[in-house]
Amino acid sequence: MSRWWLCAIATRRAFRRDRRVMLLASALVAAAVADLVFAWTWLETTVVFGAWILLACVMGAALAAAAPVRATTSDALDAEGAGSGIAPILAGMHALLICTIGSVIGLAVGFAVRARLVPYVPPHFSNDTNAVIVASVASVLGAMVVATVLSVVIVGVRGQRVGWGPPQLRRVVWLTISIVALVLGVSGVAGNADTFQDLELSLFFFAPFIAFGAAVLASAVLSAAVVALRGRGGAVWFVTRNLGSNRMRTVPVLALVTITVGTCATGAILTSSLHQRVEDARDSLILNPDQAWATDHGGLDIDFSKMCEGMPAEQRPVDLCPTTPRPPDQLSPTVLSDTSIAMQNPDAEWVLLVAVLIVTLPLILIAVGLDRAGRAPDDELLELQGAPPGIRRQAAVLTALLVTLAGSVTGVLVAVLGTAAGIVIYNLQVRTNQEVVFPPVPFAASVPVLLGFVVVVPAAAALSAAIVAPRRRLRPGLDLPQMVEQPVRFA
Amino acid sequence: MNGQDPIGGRAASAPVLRLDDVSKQFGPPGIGAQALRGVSLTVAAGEMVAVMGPSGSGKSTIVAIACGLLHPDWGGIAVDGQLMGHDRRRWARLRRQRIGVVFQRLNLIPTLTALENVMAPMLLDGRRVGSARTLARAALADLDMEHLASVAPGDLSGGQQQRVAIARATVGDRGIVLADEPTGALDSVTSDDVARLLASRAEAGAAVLVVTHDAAVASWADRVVMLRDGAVVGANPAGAMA
Repeated sequence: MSRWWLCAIATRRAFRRDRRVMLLASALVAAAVADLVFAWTWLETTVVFGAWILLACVMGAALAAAAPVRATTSDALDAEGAGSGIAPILAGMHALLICTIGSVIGLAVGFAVRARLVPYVPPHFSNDTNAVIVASVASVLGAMVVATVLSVVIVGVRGQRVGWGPPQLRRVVWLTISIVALVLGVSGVAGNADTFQDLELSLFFFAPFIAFGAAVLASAVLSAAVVALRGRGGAVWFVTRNLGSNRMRTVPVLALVTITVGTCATGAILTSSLHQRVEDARDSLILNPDQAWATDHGGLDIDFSKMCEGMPAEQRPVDLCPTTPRPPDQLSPTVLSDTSIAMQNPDAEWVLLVAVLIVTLPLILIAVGLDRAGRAPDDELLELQGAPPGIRRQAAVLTALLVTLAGSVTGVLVAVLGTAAGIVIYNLQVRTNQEVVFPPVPFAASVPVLLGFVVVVPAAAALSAAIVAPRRRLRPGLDLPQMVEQPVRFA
Repeated sequence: MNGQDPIGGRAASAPVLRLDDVSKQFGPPGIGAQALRGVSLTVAAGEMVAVMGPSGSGKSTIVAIACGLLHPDWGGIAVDGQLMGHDRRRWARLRRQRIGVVFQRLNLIPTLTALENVMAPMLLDGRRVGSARTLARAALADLDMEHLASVAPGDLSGGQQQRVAIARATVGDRGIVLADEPTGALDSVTSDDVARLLASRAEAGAAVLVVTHDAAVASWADRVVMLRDGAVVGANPAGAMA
């Protein structure tokens, strides 16, 4: 019992001592939880499951990024003879503290904003309030349990890992695994779908493969960038050394950026493709007004005329089930779709990009800031060695730029290739709804939007990193005596 | 001010480091501690000067001021004959290029290897990794530490860490070496090695200022400056300390 008490005190002290890291980690969790509340509010269950996976990833990333704080405390307790069992207890408490603070704030913010926005949203867009509350809280608790258990398990097996093979071999093996995971994920999603709804459902099971593969691939891209920059001094050395070592601290942030940008880019490509399909179908729909197929985002291959026949008259959406033939000027996404907000806007891809930035940029920025805050002790020691005053800011900008660029490029690349492959496989299948044979889905991607993902996310991250870079000046008279001497060990 | 400039010792060349009537107070006037009271001190190239005194006499403050980590409330500091002000960039450049410091707590960077720790000041100065590595290896080799170049500080003994810190302080063309209690946590044999290393740097032409409470270390110096309550109370040739 005394060990638990000791861990509780140590965790509280760690929070006070490294407030910046701990608060950033909690903020990261809070932002992800708030996003989940929005997802439950307006999106379908399938998409929300993806949001839940993202939440679990974010929690994991926050805990991994804050791990050095816990490791310092753990090492100090080890040095006092605390014994090997103390580290997992400490990790569990640390994880629970960060997740709890972040979840409470995230739920509060999420529901507060939801309450303000719901009155402005058509009723059939938003889910029932009670269901959203129950589902959000249950999701957050589930993610907390998963993240905490994983954190404890990882710490528990720490030190038992055996290094294997030379680095080159390890690199090849990891790359192979990532490519296999990507191929398996993409083909699994596309190959298991007879309808577009099935495709969405299968995303449940294969998204983790794709996310894992993309994250490893992004790590390889970042490694290549680091190798290319290696050999230079100044801030570049500072950054490449940090990114090259302690990969466990970089990978969670990188994975978060990759998965987020990749998911959003996939959404943008699908939106473009569906718009293209509407355009392709325009002539056919004008000639055959009863066949209102293939225009809905949520159920791409639904034959609306059949769907309308099966519905009670009072429940039929007027825009989808017209009583008279549609005039040509109503053959727009606005008329033919009611499940996707993005589809209602002619500039949907750009709207999506802006929405994505609003939602995901805080996540990315907090993650980058968290990464920087974790490295602050090293920065101070380098300042003693005469590091130029501006090197922290330069390093923060360069780090943010490299990490987000590697993540964005990989995310967009995987999104383009994965979506293209998925659509090709999807089109190869015979998809019918009774007598209606559905036409193929075209692949259409807006190059400016995709470039926007690649350029805007890193640029915004770099700019923000420059603003939030540590400005604290070293005050040796006050700071030197308190400097931590013991080596920081990372999980 | 009651400072004095202890002149003497074997060094004949012009001073490269000069503290002139330096005073420093921590905390608000009247309440805070007066760390230094009008201290004047010179160190010439090829000379090793030891500063001794009891705890709280202001020894570490002298090192912090001499390398620009603290600024004096009164008095001036000249490096290579140039009066230094409070410009942080100028001081930082000096720490990268001219002044090496062995801190009492060493302040090695735990996430870097021994070699990378020695390379750090040069790389921060923008030097390319290849040439920095060559110089750092040479500095470690001088201290019989080349075989431990790829080891992290946490896996080195106290004496080995001290050698890495000295290698970092002396690498490249640094003509001034400041050491703050460099043997504070070492056994007598290792302390003697460290003192010998610092003396060898002086023999090689560097100006070495060592702050210590260890008379054995001070015995390696050309001059010993005694400090009490922040003021210089005497200066002796090293032989007089024994």
